Amino acid sequence: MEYVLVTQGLSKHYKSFKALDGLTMHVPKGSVYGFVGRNGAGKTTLIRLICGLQAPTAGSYSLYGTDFTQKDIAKVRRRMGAVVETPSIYLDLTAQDNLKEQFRVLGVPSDCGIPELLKLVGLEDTGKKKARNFSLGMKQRLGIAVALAGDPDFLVLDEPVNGLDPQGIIEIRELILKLNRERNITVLISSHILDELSKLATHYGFIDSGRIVKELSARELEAACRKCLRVEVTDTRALARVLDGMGVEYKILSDGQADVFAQLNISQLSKALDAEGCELLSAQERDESLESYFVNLVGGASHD
Amino acid sequence: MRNLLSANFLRLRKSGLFWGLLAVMFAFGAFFTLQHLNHYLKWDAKFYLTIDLFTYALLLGFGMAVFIPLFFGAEHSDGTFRNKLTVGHTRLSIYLSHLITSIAVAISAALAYVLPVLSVGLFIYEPPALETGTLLLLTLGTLALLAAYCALYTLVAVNFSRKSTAAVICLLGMAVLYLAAGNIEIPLMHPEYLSMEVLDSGEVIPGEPNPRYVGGAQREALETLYDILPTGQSLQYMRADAAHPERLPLYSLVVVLASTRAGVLLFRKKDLK
Amino acid sequence: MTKLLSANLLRLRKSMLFWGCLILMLLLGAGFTLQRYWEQAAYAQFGQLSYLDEVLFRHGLLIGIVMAVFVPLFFGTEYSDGALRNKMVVGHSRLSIYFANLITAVAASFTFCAAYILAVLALGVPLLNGIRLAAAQCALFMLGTLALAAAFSALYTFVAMLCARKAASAVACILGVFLLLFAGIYINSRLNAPEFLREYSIAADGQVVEEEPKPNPQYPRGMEREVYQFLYDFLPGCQSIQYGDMSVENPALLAAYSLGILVVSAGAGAALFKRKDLK
Repeated sequence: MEYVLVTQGLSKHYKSFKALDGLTMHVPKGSVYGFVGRNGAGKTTLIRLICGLQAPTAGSYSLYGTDFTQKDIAKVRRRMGAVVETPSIYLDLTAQDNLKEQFRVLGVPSDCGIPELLKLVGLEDTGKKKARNFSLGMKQRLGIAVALAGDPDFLVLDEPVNGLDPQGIIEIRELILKLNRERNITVLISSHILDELSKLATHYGFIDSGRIVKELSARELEAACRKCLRVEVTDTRALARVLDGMGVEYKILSDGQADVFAQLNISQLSKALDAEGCELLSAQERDESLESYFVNLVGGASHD
Repeated sequence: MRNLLSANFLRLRKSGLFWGLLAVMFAFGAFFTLQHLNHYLKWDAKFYLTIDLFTYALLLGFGMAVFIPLFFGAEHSDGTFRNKLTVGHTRLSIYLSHLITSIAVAISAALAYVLPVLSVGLFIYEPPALETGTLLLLTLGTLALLAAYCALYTLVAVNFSRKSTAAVICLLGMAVLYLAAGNIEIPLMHPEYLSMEVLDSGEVIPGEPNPRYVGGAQREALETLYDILPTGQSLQYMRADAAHPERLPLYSLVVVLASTRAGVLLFRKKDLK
Repeated sequence: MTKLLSANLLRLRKSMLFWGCLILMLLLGAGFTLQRYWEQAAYAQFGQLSYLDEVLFRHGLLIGIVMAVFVPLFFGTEYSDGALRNKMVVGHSRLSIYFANLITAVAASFTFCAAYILAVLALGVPLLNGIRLAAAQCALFMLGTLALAAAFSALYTFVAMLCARKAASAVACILGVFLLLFAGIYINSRLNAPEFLREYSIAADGQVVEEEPKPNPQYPRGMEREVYQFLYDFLPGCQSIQYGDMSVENPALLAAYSLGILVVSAGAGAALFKRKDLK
């Protein structure tokens, strides 16, 4: 597989604090790579490193196969666009002037692509309004437009839907999908809004305490997320006896609730419970969510 | 690099700060000139052209201390450094593009100041009492001095992420340098003797030595410092009385090179957000 | 209001900026005193003496610059970090926020002055000659410099509270105080200019002849002189110049002007701040 970004044992230390601690990850070409981790796990640090804002303490990374220490890395970066943390825009300039500015930075000779770009992010009607007076969502979208100004093949978005309204979230999601599918842009998105990410990502990297805990494709993730049956009964002790007898994995949640990790025949279960003098009140099939997968992976309480 | 410069100039054209600086410098030039014009008309006072000509060398020491941190500080506060770095511009070229832009701004501001001075002054002032060569050297020297101020402020503005801190450091730094130059000037101004007697033969007989006179190696050190300090140069250009007009631009050049070298090294190591 | 004040004071105690300014004032007090002492030692043969009161009130010159840095940076963070919102949201009125900040600024300025005076006294009492001023005069000078410090604090609070951009307000305050100080130096030179210019020429017989004195164009006359004199006493930067070289003639008048500036700028600032749209 061809990779846009590969990092090898990447580390970044601030004094004694290890923001990144030997992080290794692979972003395949053409993917939407969801970069998942809680606040402070090192997501933004990684993005700062690959954008060249900071130098790694140890380890290496390569973009399109070019190592970051090579001279050509500047040329390769020309194929990148990024929105890091907060949108990088001049607050004293209008949306149009911000894009003009970035076109100059990139050396794009003509400004004729600007209206199209503004339309793409839904800012075509902002006129003479300065970015200072934009709403958070508008700033976010202008930031993405600036990142797209160089027609990048690789787009890096750090928490792109932070602070957006539901409508805005949907628009950004559709924009990202469109860019990925129609222009074949590889996208790296960091986020802690897992539900949103699961609607986009083709690959995932889970990061915790500066390390990648797990890297897998969306398909693998789906397979890994176990189906389960949530049952409500009058006596969980009886349920436990029955399930033990069936040799099935389960988890008691409360006095009357349990999750059963197997495809069961409901009527058989009901009959078996009846024999134990326990009633089956309800049964619901559930997918283990990305969220619970993540919590299982990084161990919910260990960092609080 | 050319791309970065053209981006900077585009932003300059839209910057109220830039036009404000030009307007203020023009106003200063006009104000000084009008004052002298008033004295000329009222009292028939005579002035040499150099009286106001090079005052921009001092004014812009303060002017650029405001302009550079505020204009380039936006790159930190608005995060736009990132847009340049992520698309592959090197830190060196970003730094140099800032320096070149700010020197261009300083020269434009100096022209805005000189415009009213010359347009009135050429008609009413006496021609300068200096040779054309010296005058050219002084002009060149003020340009080198402007570059030195720009290089020092760029060093601060690029390496301090907080715009307000950078602005305060530049302005206070300028004030401290200005006071330092003023304080070096005072001991240098004391005459060597308290009185002099001129004989009929033209021979000069010194009277009592002045205890406040600073001589020897100490005087040389003070004079050199006065020549090196940008503010010391500003004061000399302002009065168009530089003792070593050929040395001053060289010192300025050294300041530009040294501060740019240090600034680039620091900027390369800086962790940007 | 007391809650706001105690919150401000807490932040003050934790502020590097505050301690930095305080130490700077201590150092400046020590530096000026030592400078006078060394000068006295260097020119002892000419009988030059240095007196404590030459430097004791020079904080009047310094405080304008120090507060021009301190006030915008310290209170500007309330805007840039959005802390202002936290105060408004829990129901503090804008007036009480404004006045709490003003009082804090004035208190900080007095602390800085105290640091300067302490340093001067600690070194100056053993090293320099005593005070030549009468006790009452001394008290008036102290009152005058403190009123000046309060006036500066009020002006800067005005700028810092009405300008949401920290960097812009810092630049405005610092440039403002420089302008005022330069104005002070300029007016000082105009007021001290001689009324007539004397010109001498050497006659044919070698005798020095004094020519008819010419009126000096730099010497302000009549109304112009009155205006200059008023500005020189009224403007805070000009007062600073006067306290700097101890040429103050009427400290009570200067103090009255300073209090006027304090009241007017605080009133205007609070009224404008009440109407300001905050983000």
